[in-house]
Amino acid sequence: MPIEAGSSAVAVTRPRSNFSKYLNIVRSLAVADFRLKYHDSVLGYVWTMLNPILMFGVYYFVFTDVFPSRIQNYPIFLLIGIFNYAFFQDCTFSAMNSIGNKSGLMKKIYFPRSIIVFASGGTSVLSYLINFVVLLGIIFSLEGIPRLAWLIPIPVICLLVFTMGVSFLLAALYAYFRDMGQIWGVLLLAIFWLSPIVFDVDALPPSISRYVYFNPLTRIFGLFRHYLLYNYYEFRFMGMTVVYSFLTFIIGFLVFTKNESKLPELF
Amino acid sequence: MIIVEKLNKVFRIPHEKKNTLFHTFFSFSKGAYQFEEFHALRDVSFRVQKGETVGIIGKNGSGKSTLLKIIANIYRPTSGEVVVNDEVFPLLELGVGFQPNFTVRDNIYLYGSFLGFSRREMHERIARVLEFAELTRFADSKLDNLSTGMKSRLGYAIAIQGDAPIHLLDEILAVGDEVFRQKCRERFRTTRNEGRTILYVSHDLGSVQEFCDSAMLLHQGQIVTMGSPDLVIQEYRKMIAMEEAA
Repeated sequence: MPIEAGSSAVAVTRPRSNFSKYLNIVRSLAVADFRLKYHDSVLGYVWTMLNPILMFGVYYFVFTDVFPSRIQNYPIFLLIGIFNYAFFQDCTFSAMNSIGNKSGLMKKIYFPRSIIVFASGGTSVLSYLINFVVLLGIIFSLEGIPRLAWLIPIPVICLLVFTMGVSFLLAALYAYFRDMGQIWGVLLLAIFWLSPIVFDVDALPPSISRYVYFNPLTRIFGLFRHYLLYNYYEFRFMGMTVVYSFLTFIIGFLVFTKNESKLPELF
Repeated sequence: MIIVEKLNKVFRIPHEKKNTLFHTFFSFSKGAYQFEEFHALRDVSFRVQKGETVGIIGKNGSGKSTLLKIIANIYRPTSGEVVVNDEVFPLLELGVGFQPNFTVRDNIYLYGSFLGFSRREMHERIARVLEFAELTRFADSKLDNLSTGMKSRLGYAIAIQGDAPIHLLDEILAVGDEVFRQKCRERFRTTRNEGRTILYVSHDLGSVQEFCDSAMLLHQGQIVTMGSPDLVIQEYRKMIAMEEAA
């Protein structure tokens, strides 16, 4: 049962690998990371929620008092953008660094290297889901439960899948270019302002908003707002968003697995 | 069974370390990417039968660890064929992935998962692990508070729980004090007698002589001799003596 068959000169034959064993490594790594990140305490967790809350406070002040925004229901509009963007930022950044942080492990034990990225993503997803419950709590208590709230798993899944795709791509790039950390930091800032987080894409002139819609995050944040804020449903828009997200994941994952066997030698 | 045929491994060591995007982008003009080729393994071929214990000896940099890493699927060969028809249990370093901030108990579960154990399997083994490592009393203290020797003992105690048919051991008997080493030796003997296939890299020629059915001498990535441990060790000593004389 050959698992690997690369160029004609190389042949490696091994027994089939054990999926549940790898799943167990993902879980152990994710839980360990989660515990390290939050120092095993509820307070540690509260601290990390402080970041999106603080960001929300600052932008809320700027866009209600400094440059008043005309968007209806602006606090919720902003909260949706900021909480979901915070996940994108946290997940991509830690996934990219995880491949360097775990290089010691990678050089001594064999397991599919994608496990490292999945585990790192798992840690981020875990805290995102808790944050998201808090976000829903805030929205439901302010606005009541929106009619289309049951559709909310769709944008959540799109966001997770899209973000993991970007994470895999970044993790692969990081192995070759150690300054990806700095580069991605700058790009993230650009992505923040080019995604409709503090502004409404549909308020822009169509000649510009067309380009903003190329950004899958625009569509994903759009879906969140459709279902939680505007009670609006459009199949085509939703379908395209799902397709874009999964396409990004497939591309990122393929790029990563294509380079996987070289990873231990690059550190 | 392990079959290795005409195995080559070449590492490319770049002349200037160009691992940033910035660097790559701004040094295009300098022409082709320059690197040194390091032949870590050259045309290595051998077979290990099921249940055999093979010692691999040689100087530092002779390719011993690279060979184990290829068999463990960590490095990919540059050319050649590798057939490993059973599950491999690689022990290339003790205590990889230990978390200094976790307790001894949590580290046992964590390290266990890297070695392929489920939480439940580890739960069944935890008392034995702690006892072997002589750390039962410290099960709930932070790993950071343990001495270096204690940590290696813990790593070893978890590692020997491995029950895959093929074991790859890189210099791991040199752990702890004399009493603990004695225990490790005994444990090694049991593992061997259980009919496992073992590849054993060591600088401790005595243990190679004691435990291995055959041995292999590597020099600059090539197999110099293979055969009975006594003869191979003799050859190795001769090689060292000649180099010292030169």
